[in-house]
Amino acid sequence: MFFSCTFSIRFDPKTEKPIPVSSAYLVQQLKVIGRDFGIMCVVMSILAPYGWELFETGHEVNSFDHSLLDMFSWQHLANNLFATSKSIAFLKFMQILYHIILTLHTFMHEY
Amino acid sequence: MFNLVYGYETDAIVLNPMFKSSSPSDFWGRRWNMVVHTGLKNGAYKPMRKLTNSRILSVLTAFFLSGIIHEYVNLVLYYEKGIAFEWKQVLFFGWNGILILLEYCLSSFPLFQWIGKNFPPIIISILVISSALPLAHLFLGDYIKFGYFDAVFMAEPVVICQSNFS
Repeated sequence: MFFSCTFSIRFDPKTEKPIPVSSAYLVQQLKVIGRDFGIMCVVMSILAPYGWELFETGHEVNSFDHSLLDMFSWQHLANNLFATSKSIAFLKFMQILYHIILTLHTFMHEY
Repeated sequence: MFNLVYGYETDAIVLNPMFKSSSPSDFWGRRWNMVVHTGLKNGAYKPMRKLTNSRILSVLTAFFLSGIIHEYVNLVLYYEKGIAFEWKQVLFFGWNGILILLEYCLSSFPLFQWIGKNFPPIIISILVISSALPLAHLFLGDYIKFGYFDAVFMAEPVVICQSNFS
């Protein structure tokens, strides 16, 4: 939740006013979030049994112990790639989810 | 903020950085967390540029500040788990600042021009991501170690296949 709280309003370039949410926008956002949710489920299902590190590197993940050779080992790079993908997907997912919750709340009040 | 965003469209903050980045500056400037990017650009890059007229110093300041902010956020999030300020985020973001400076210096070289014109965009994006991957554990390691992903795990339906051969 913390990481998803930073978002900015989209302004109409002509009128320079904020663009109100439309149902088409909401449907489009729901499609994106559905796709991202699926991707995240797959990635999490693969990585969870391995403690988020698919390959053994012999080092604590958050340590300074990695030598130059370790940092360029394919196991280390692959672990980092998976973790990066996961964090990008989650950041995007939570930001949209958080906004959809706010938007639905607005819709319920208006209609 | 809640009232401000109530019922209005928001900008996408992540714009496919994994598969569409054409350079480190494209990754950080146009694809990864646009809200933080805008804040750092207006709050650190532009004032430093105005003050010193140095592009290099301005980029390094923005990334240094980004590292400090991330370090602080982690300190607040994982304070109870005993996390310490170890400059890991600063190192990671500093390295990415250096990558952008290298891009400024090397992008006019014939080899990089040739790669930019002849390689498929997806390969270029992979190369861009790869340039930061060796140090990515400094950025993401604490999230793994101190349970950020475990918290995500609690909110996701996950299928785990286990085998027992014993």
